[in-house]
Amino acid sequence: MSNFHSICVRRWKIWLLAVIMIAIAVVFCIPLYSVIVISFKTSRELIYTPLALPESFYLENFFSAWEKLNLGTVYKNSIIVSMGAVVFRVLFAAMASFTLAKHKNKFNRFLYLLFLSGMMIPIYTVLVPLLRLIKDLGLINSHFGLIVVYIAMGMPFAIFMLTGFVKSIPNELIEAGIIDGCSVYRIFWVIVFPLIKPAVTTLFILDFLGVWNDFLLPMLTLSSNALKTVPVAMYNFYGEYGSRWEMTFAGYSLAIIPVLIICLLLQKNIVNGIMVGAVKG
Amino acid sequence: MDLSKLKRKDVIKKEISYISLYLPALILFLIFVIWPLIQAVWVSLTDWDGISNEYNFQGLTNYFTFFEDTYVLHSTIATFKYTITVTIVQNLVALVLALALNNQFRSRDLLRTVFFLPSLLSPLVVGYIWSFLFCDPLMKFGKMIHWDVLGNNILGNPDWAIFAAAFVTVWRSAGWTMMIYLAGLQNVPQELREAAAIDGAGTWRQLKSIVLPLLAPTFTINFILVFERSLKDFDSIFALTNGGPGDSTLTLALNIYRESFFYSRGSYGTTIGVALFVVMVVLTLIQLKFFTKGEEKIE
Repeated sequence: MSNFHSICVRRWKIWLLAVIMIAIAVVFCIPLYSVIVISFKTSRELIYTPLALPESFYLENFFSAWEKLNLGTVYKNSIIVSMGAVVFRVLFAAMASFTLAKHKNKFNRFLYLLFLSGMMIPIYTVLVPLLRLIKDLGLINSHFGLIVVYIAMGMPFAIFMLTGFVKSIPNELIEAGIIDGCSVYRIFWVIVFPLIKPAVTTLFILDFLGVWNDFLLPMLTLSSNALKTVPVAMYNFYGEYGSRWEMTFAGYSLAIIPVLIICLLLQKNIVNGIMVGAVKG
Repeated sequence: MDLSKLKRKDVIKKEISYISLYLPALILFLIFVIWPLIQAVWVSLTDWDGISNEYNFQGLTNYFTFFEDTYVLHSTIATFKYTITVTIVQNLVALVLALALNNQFRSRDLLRTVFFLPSLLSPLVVGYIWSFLFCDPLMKFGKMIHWDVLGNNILGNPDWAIFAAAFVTVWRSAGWTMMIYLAGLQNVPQELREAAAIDGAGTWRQLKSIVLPLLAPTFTINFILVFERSLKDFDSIFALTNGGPGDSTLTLALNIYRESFFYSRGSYGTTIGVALFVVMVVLTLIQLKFFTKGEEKIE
């Protein structure tokens, strides 16, 4: 009887907890709610009822934000930069981590530590010389320059993460490949790469979001309007139309939505990546 | 591996293949990370503005200025306030969320997603969104509850703006930290809690004696991760206050940006950057000590 009683109390407690958490989540969502709601409002509505549901399905803000931001081009730029940077970063890191994890000698161990030490360098430390270098190499104001820098900057963490995974591949598998007369490249591509694919996918998604959201570097290197990425476009947009909240918020909604979609589709991968980053970081 | 069967030529060929695998990564890393770092140290010893082709070597002058600069002092204090607040509050909030969402109920997974979502958004855009919220709806709310700090736009208040910025960061990235705590909670065996419950330990007692001690390693990791991350934050504060009002939210990162690109004192900005790098190195060394100790214990 008392057992039954305690189960009831427990159920009731969990139910109360759920209600409290839902209430907290609702409050937590107010900022995102307000962005979306305000995007649908006329400037008049915004003044009188900023956070109420919009009176009508008013889409004008989205159209003018899209047009003023030139969002088609901006999305395209962000996709080029993020894709270019992350595809090559992950590929180069995977290649390097094979040698670093499975072909151990003193020099490779030193190289591994050298790469890892890159994680300590804040971008602000190297900003001035880096910009000068980009300029001297003729890579300023180009996507290519930005991509190359991103590949290099993310390399330490990528190598760190992937080397951990390559290490866990049994040596027998690789030796079997050697006995069969496979070249090093073939072993990497046919045996190692498929085995670290889950880690590669995870790293790819996390780094993609990281580059997509990065602001300082593109702001400093891309001066031409036609090349701007999403965060830089948002920065300029705010500077120009900052007081017209209903339109800037429509712009922010359009900037946020692709990320939200990616996140909802790939949540499992993202969460896994965070765990790995935390456990090994 | 039995190398004796392979011919010497094959060994060399294999070695070259192995080297070629890390070559692209290494070349880019040396050019765009290590070389600028070496140059940064050199630049900090000059009076270079960051743009022109002329500069003079001036030894440690920048470093002497650094230690007497009130802006550096202010920005160190601002960074300290911001980083400490974010680290403590974010860990507390994330821990509470994780403990709550570790229970079984129907909307649990949805709630986890909800709290996690903002951490993937652009910190810059999140900053802009909150700058609106602070200057309109929250101002009205502040007047309603008679809290003048909030009622008069908290971002314009030199004493409070930095904490408002910290609050926004916690809102954005607590979900991230929560996910790591949730992973840590998977390592707390359910049987242990059940056994304690049978022995009459209440929820609070179970937390204190079983869950939290077992969560200690996760707490250490999160503490360090959040600290390092918030130390390097830029976008969000840039969007919210851009260092103002006065210099009350001018963190070291913003200060470096301002000196380097606003006041054209590239060498001095870089000097502050080198100081920040030194802080990072020290933190990493502490971290290494912590973790190698932890691993020894496990072994």
